[in-house]
Amino acid sequence: MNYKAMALVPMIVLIISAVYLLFLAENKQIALDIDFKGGTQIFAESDKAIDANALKGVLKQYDADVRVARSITNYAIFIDFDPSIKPESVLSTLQQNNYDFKSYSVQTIGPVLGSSFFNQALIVLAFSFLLMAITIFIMFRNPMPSIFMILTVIADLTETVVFMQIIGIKLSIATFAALLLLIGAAVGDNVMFTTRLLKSNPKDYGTIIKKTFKTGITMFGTVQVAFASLLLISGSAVITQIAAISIIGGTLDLMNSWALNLGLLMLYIKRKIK
Amino acid sequence: MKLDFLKYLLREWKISLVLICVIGSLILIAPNPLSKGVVVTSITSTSPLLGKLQVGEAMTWANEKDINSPEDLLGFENFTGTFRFMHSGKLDLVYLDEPGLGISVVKKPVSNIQFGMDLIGGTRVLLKPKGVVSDVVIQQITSILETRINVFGLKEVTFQPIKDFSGNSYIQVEMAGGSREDMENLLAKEGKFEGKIERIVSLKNNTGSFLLNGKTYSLRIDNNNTYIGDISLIGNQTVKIDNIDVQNYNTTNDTAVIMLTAFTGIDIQSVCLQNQPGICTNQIIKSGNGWEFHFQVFITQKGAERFANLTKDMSAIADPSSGTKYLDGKIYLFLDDNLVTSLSIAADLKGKAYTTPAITGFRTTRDDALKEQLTLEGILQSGSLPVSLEITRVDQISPALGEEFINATLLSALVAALAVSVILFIRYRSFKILIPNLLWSFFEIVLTLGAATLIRWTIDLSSIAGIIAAIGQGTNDQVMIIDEVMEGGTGEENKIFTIKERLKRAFFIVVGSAVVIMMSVVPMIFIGIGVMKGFAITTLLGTFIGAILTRPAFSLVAQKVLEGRVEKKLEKKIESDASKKIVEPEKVKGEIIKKEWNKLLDMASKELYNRPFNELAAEERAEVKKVLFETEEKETKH
Repeated sequence: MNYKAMALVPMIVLIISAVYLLFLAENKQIALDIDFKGGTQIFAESDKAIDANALKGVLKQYDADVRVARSITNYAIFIDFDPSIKPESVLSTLQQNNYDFKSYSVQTIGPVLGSSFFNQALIVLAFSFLLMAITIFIMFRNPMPSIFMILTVIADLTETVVFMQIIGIKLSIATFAALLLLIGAAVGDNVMFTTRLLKSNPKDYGTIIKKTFKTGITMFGTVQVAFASLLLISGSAVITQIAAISIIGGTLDLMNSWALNLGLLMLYIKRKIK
Repeated sequence: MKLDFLKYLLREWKISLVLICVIGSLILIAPNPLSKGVVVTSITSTSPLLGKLQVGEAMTWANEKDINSPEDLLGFENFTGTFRFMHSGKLDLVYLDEPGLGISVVKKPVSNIQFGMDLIGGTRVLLKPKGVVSDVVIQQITSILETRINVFGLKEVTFQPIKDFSGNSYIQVEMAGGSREDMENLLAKEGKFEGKIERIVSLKNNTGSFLLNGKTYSLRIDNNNTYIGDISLIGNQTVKIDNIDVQNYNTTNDTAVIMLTAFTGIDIQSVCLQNQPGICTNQIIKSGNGWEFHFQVFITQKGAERFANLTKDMSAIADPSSGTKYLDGKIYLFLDDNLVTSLSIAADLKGKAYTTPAITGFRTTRDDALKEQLTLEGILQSGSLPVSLEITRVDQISPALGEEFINATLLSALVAALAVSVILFIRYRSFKILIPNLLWSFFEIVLTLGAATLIRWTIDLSSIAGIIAAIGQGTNDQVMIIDEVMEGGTGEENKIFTIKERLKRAFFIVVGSAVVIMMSVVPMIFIGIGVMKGFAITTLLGTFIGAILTRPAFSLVAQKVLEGRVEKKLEKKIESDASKKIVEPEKVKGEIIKKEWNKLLDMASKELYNRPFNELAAEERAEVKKVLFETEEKETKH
């Protein structure tokens, strides 16, 4: 197998994503949810079809941002507006226009608090990452495979964030939590094949990789279908967001683990044997 | 055979431990989906049921109707007459002469699991004191707010002081009932109370005069500024004249109105929270096309004397319609600089120490009047806050949405389990593997919920997401354990690594991933002042329980279940080979052994004589066989 070519493709994807993310960050264009920038959000559910643009027209006076997401059982509506506007008046405007949502939630976050949350989130991300890296180094006591694994996590995170931004999932505390979980969950299959390849004897690598991949793809399948059912049915904003990120991150991790990490690891093992 | 299997499972302490813990968790959680009735969460101070019913009591029946949800009780909101009800198994009755029960209830919980407000509905408010405050001040604020909430009638409200990374202090208030507006009115109000008496000064050529403490003061208007003697009153600034706070209120062409402060918050001794005829009044009465509330506050002697001083210079005038005599100036009650009540002062109070002014207000509905009354009572009773509070975050979830979340989450969990089963069945094509898999995932859910109940952790949406994450990881680990036991996953089958060694390696992976997951979620406990704490806590609990308790036991089950599966696979292969060649299976088995044996003979002869076996001489062949038998014996002894 050509391990160089295998590692090269995800490496290019990683570099492009990293550059794009840096560009977004530099221009302050990263889409943040109200958790991180402040604002008021009404989350409502409806079993009738809701047109986002029509709803936006109704709420024109509030300059509200309207998103509608469809699940199997109903429609989820997110309405974001400035925290200085009273949610009661938005709700009554909705009612007057026959948008009568029986079940809804209202969340208001002050802009100062929001930006302080965002700063905290970045610190937390740094800590999570550091703890993960230390654990991996202690587990393998072998710098190169550990570095490959950490690179995989970086790739997973960067690409998932970029993907989220492109398809319009905003960065919120819930999606952020899902990203942190991705750090932990993504290393699972990497730990598995690294252990098997480094600690197995005799080294019939082809078969090991084949069998480990079979295990890995089963794990991938179970996790993806589980999150897909949550995404389609749960109807709660928190769980839907976590499920969406997990599915995106899991898919990207499949590429990064089995092409990037495995490719690099095999190049390293082959060189060592020589 | 099945009994043997069960016996084996119970003999293994790891498996027994899991089963014991699962039973223990179930006892802790105590699920009871058939529970009936509603639980009283609060009783207002004006409720007719006050004294008959206690907070936390269950109500199951009222006037021939079973009460199983808050909606069932809603039907009695406009009820008047004899209200009979069953509480904690006792029958009780009360006569309602006006509508309104004044209690709030929630559905009786079906288990001991405490659900967060995002699942049962409610309001969560994050309050930030302005400026840097010490822990003592936070405690002070909390107790003031608790008083307000208690007077308002909300019970089961939790207050939690929170600090973030940068040392900012917050107070988080969470409650099942209560609307967002209620909270804003009740909690964020500083609660600065002032009682002021007006002096209406008639102006002639922009000058006039008034009496204060027996002295005459001159007042003039110059360039829209009011001057009392030489002191100017700019805007609504307060100045001290003869130790009395004086404020400019309103000026027209022929009158100037100034306000003289009689009472402030510290002058309030207590608030009349319950109507006690002859002692104090607290009531809501129908008035015109709305409702009027009315409650008295008790003023300290010092405040009352100030009132006497300020009124002694006033003169009485008669109301032309009723003939009742009043003083020529009302008393105005302000809360946080907003006018709450203005009252005419009866003429006979002139110069008297007046200790029981009443606060009144008018609202179109009884509910609104009651709410406003309770809010004012709460704020006046608790006194003003040492610093003002800012509402920085409000989450409000309607109970209907919360219930939908629970139902939808349960449904999606079921669908997820089904989908995972399908994947596992496609992979292994065996119920013997699938059933323990699902059973163990169920165990892990029960154990995590049990642990959460044990540490009194409230299960909110993010906690559920954490449980899901932990279960997902559990399924992953189970797949890996099965593959390790079944295939070794390494290509060398079961020759060099025994099952034990392979499991050891599997556990390195299981524990390793678990530690990485736990490490990556730990910092989350501290983010966003704990918004995602539930996610982190349940992920930690679930992953930890999985790594130390359930997965070691699962590996034993997997071993037992898969015992003989590898051998069976081989046999199946032989059988299919046999059917292809249309030979007896026994014969094929013999053939295979023969083939293997020949291979070994060849290998040994090459080793010893560097020639294939069939090229060897008879004595050489005998020697090779001897060597082979010897090594075989040695290996079997090993």
